[in-house]
Amino acid sequence: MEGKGLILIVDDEVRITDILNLYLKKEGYRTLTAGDGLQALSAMAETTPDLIISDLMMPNMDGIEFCKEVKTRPEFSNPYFIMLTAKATVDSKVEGLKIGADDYITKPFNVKELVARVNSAMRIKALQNEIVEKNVELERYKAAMENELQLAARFQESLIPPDGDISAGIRLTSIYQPTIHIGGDIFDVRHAGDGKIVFFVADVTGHGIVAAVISAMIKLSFIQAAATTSSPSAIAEKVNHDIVSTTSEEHFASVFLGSLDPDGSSLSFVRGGHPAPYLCRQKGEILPLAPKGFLLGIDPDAQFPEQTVPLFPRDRIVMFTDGISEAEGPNGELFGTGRIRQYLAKPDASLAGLRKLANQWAGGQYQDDFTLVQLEILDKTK
Amino acid sequence: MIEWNENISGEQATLNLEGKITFENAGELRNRVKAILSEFPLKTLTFDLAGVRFVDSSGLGLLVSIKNTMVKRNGSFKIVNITETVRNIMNQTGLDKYFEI
Repeated sequence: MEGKGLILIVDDEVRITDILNLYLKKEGYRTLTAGDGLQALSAMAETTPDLIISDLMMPNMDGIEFCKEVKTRPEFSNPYFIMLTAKATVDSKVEGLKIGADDYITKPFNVKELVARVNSAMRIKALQNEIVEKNVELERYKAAMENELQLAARFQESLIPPDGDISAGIRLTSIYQPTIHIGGDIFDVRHAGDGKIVFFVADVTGHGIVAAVISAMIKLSFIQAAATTSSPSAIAEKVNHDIVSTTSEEHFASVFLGSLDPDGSSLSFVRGGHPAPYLCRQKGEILPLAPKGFLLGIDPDAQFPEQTVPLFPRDRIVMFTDGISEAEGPNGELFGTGRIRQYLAKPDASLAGLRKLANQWAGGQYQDDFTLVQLEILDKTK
Repeated sequence: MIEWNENISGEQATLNLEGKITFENAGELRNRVKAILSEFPLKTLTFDLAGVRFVDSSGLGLLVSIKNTMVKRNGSFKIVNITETVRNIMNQTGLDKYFEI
């Protein structure tokens, strides 16, 4: 009997509470009876029914008042509420539904029909309870995962160098924006073993957790390589090998990797399938840095031909990942590298300004991680 | 959103794809290709990308792994009829040579 649930019957007509009591007990339910809303509420201070059958017109506290109390007080855990009413008028039904009654039965009623409705209501109530429990479970799981992602995001942020002067001649500025807390974009700038400054920007296939783990591995591989060489093509070859040998064939990365003289007088670089960065000359000229070179992590024997250009004070190297060039506008058109180049030609161009422009284009909605990195050659005569 | 028609006969199959191949749907396409490859003794698999207007890096990853799978079973994987946007993506990544487009 425990299992079938508790029903509270509220009516000032004893004839009705008696007959409902009789039939519902026969059906296996436990029952309680009350003569009006106030009595019912005091009974509910002791125990919480799963379902309430209440008359509409009663002395002291009528069905509408009672229903309001029941449905607004969370301690009653929202029992199923069936309103019994002699008035079959549309008005009273509408009023009852507004205050949250779950069902209506008009007097005079057929007891068998009422019992059938109670049975079906109890099934609904059981399903509702199950959904609520599942929801609580899911919410708890989601909160735990969110927390994990936040921790991972903090860790990933710690892998990224802070803005500032890398050497007397070079300044780093960056914007890093993953899609779901963590992502597959990564970059680094550091002093190589021989005193040169080496840097890279990489974008791992896909985004999310797997991409983030691989991006951390790429950074580690880069750090190891930079300890012994500052040659961009040698570093790229080592990183390529490491990705090929440790990740599945569906995972690879596009990379732009370079080395700078500490005074900022020259730049050597390789490109592994990465969108070509722009060299923005102080005089306004914009050069794409686009040597040929294949993605890292597919072909173990890939070669990365190197190019070298001289640099001058106030030149800027602006690197980005495809999260920005492939940001979709409202009609599906991509932001594109052309718009990036056009913006960078402006004398007051900045990374923040470029992000703002892309945000306007994409309406703040990005499908992919996006990263902007700028290395600026400082004017030491100033 | 990605949709496709399949033309399979003997050792040849062509998938005519339409939409975008991205992180969100690469799994669905991967599963179907796996099923086709285990069911049919294919030697040549062709993706007709005339209706594909965008491929993200996850999509590229899928195409690379399909090509590797076909090469491993002594077959070949071809990509035909690419749109301008997809051609730009292939050029930028160097995959145009890899897929012999």
